[in-house]
Amino acid sequence: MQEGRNMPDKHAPRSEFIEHLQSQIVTEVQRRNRLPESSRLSLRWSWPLAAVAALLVVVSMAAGGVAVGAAYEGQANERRDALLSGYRQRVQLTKDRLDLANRELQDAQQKFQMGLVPQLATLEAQLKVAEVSGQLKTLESQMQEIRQTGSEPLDVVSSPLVGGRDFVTERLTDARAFPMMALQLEETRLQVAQRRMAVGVAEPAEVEAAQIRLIELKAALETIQKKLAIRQQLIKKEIDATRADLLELEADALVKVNTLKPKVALATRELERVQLKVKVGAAQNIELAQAQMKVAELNSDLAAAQLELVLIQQKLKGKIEG
Amino acid sequence: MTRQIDDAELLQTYRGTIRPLYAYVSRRVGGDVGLAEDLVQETWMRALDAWPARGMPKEPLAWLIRVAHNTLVSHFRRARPTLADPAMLDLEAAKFSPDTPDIAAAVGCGLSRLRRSHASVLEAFYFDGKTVAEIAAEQSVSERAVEGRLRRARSKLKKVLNKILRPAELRGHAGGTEHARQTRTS
Repeated sequence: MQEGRNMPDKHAPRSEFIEHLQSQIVTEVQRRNRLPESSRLSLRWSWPLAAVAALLVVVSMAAGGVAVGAAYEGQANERRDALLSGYRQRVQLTKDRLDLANRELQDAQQKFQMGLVPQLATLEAQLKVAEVSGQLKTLESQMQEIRQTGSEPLDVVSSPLVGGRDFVTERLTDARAFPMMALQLEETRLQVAQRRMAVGVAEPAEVEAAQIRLIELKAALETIQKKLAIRQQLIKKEIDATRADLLELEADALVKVNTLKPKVALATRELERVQLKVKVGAAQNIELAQAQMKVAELNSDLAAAQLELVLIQQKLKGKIEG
Repeated sequence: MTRQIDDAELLQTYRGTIRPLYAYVSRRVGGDVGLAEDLVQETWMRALDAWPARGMPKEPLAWLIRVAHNTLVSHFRRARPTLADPAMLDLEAAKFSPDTPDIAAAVGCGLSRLRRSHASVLEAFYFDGKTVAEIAAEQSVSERAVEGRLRRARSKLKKVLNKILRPAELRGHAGGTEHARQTRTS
């Protein structure tokens, strides 16, 4: 019979991990110790308490109630494990994507140093790394929430605190990093497009497209700021959960309207350009039809978004008045 | 009734158990750092849930390892192993060792579907690196009895792996294993 194997060093934990987990444990313990007794009980033992309550009732009727309590706890653990398993796979995939993005960034930086690609290429690669890093951070935060609640993580502004911890604010704050970095990239891209247009190598549409991307990013940042403000109002009990939800919907609808408007304007200007080209024979009627179709579609989207916004604002008004 | 956790006591326990706990988990996931760290973290979060109410266990490491074991079993019951080279899964080969993430995942998935008695003897042998003599001493049985248990457990594991891995790949490989076993016997 074969001999057992010796344990290699690869099974020793990284010192960074030891320190990180230790600080996490200390923070968690301090946070839990700060909570009042009643909330600690309700937060930590919601399922077991339910099981005990069920048990008391059932025991008075029959001895078989023990199995009911165990089943409740078992179901809660089962659901938590199932959720975590799915998230673990997503984290692994995101880590793989991050590795790839980092390699692409190194490649772009080397090529830029050799003069093979413009600086914009390295900025785009940096942005990709920032985007995937942000996604990884969000997933890890969501896993921490699942560990505590055993349920799907909640991201709406009216979500309750989890054991005194505000996961929604944490994730919204983290979510600002990517659009802020993207904003820098788009500003650079816009400058490049403006220079290209000034020397006649770029169409006005290129500049306008860069301007629209800037508008979209600024709107995204503004929306995050609004949601953070709504969240704070809710935490301070200045508004209730229903109003917070409506305000969040309003912020989302408003950003949709505000980003569609410049798109409609751009598509309209493009349509005018195509009409001129058709007149002088530099473009075909099919291109004109395509441009007209695009304007019509965007106008339709804008009308729908404006209607949605009005409906939400009416509900909000009704809520305030009623 | 809940009680406040003593930070110093908890940190001392953490410092004293983190390395063996991590090693226990890491060996069972073939050294997959990301997965091992995640499972160890999860185990500790469960400890923080349970200990304030029930008190710190007398043997914290044993408690943590038991919870880590359950967490691993739960993880592997859901995982679907994709083995790049099923020929590497020769359970009876002298050099066989589940020390890479994909092989450990395949073995872990198989073990999670076995009876506790079968799984534990294979775990002790493959993941904890114990010899037949050491297992026999621990279980107070003869080495011959342990060899018999290992043989039966391996047979069960192969059957389970036949079901969960791609049948065509493993069937081809299982034939090779049988041939190797017969060659060694003769």
